[in-house]
Amino acid sequence: MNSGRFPEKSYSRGMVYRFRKELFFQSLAILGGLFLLVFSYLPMFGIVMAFQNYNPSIGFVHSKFVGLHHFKDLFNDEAFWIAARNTVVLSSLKFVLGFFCPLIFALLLNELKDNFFKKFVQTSSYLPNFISWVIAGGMIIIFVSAASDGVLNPILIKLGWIKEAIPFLSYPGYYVAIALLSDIWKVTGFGAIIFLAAIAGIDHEVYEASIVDGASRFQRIYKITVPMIKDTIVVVLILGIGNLLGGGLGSSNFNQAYILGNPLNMGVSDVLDTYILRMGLQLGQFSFSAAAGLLLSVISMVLIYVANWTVRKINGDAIF
Amino acid sequence: MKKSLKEKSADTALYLFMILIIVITLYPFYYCLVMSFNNGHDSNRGGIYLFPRVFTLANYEVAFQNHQMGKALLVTTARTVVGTLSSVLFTAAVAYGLSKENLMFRKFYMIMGITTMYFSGGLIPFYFVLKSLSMLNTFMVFIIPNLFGFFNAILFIAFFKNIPASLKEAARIDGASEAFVFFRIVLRLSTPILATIALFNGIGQWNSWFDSQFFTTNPNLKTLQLILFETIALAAGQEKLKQQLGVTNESAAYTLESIRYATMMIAIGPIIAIYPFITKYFTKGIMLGAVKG
Repeated sequence: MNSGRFPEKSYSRGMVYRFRKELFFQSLAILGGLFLLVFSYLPMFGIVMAFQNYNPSIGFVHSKFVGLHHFKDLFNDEAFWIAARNTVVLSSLKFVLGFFCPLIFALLLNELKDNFFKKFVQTSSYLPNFISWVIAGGMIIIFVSAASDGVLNPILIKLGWIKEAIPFLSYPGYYVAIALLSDIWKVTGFGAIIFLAAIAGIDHEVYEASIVDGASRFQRIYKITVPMIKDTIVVVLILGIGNLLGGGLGSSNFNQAYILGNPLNMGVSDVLDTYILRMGLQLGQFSFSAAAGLLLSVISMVLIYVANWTVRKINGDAIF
Repeated sequence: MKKSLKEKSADTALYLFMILIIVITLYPFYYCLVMSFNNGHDSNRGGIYLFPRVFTLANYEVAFQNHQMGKALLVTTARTVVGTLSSVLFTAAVAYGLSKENLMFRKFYMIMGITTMYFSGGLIPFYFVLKSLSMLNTFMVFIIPNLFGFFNAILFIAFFKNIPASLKEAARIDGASEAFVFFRIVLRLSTPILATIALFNGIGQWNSWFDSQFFTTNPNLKTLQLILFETIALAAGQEKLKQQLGVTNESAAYTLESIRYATMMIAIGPIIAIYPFITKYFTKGIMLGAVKG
């Protein structure tokens, strides 16, 4: 750090000098640091309440410490285990689909030769990503509804597959399929952008050479395109793992459960996010809920580190 | 080069598949549009798929007459404009500070920021921070906590680093202040990334309902999406809305359901109107993010 420009003894003076010289940049960076301190780090310290009987009227300092009491309660709560199971099932399925669907979609889009058509498909495919889950959820409720303005039921009846309308969201058995399909509908087009960007960066001569060599279309895809965008694939996977327990890149678990969930399908729709919200803000069990939140955060953290470590082993390179 | 029959049929299958994708993607939007223009009682008979059967503008009239909806539109627009501008500017400024090569403590700042991308205190402690800052139930709860996100800062940093240093140096030699360089040179050269992040922020603000639902209780702070949530998902909310709108009149052209369609279209409208124009920017912005990791 100090390479002779400043003599050793004036090292601290040098730091002050450097800091003042960088004052404009330093103040901008510190501004960001302060923001993170208040809105990210203060809540992290607030996790203390998970080990207390937190009482908002007397604050952290005076609230009584109860050790792991809330965690024990948590593990004894059946609803917690149901929410945890649902989170894992939905999240892992969404993670896999949320990775492969955009990748395959991007590869297929890349095969379209008509540029106008390609742009049109691409641009329309983003649209669902930009509308809120409230509206997306509203559309899904309408589509699968058994009421007269539903869409799916009349079609199925007309096709003769079912005899009378099924209220799909009232049966737990259909919930997972509805959640997954709506997730695909919402994120696939947008997720493909990053892969398309990477594909656009591949040198065209590689393809031309392979055509001369007689490579088939399919061979070109999995022997050239996929290996050439490997780095991007890794980035997407790691970013996805960061949000894994929230429902993958779309982080849809909470929204879906909150909007599509109802007392009839709760056994499969309730996830940790809704569980934490219900226990905390709605039922006022702050400490208990914070304990569940901490658990969720820690598991996510571990997942990210494992993913990062694995990528480093395989790739020799990692995100951080 | 001549295409073989096999390749041609593969192309045709691909086109058909893509057309199917377009239909699946866009039809839900179109269906809601059609239903929003149809007489509510007529819609209840079912069987409308492609065109309104009994055309009416009543749904939109009622939706706009609902004074709660007017307020919500105002709140949502305000938070979108104020929130987006302030957040983009703040994030860009912090990122500009962090983009300086050899900045002292840079590594510390970066680790501090990256940590927040992967670990958080969770909802309940966050709620109490907002509470102790007296932010609950204020308009500012929509703006201030959303000012800064480290992921966006990383995108900015990557972009700023690509701006030739010679440009900034030349300006500095000409006597421009650092602030001048940032506002008049760096920001002007950063349109693609500014547009990208503004678009994402703006859409995030426009679509948000969670903070309005849980961090405010004042009905004057309800956002459009929250109103929608209440009319779409909550039966209780529907009852409330029914009373509010006085939807008991059987001869009226609307029903609660048909107003719901109009409300949805009102909430989607601005997004559809804006986003095709910014597509090229965010494709570029994301490409940059992808390349830089």
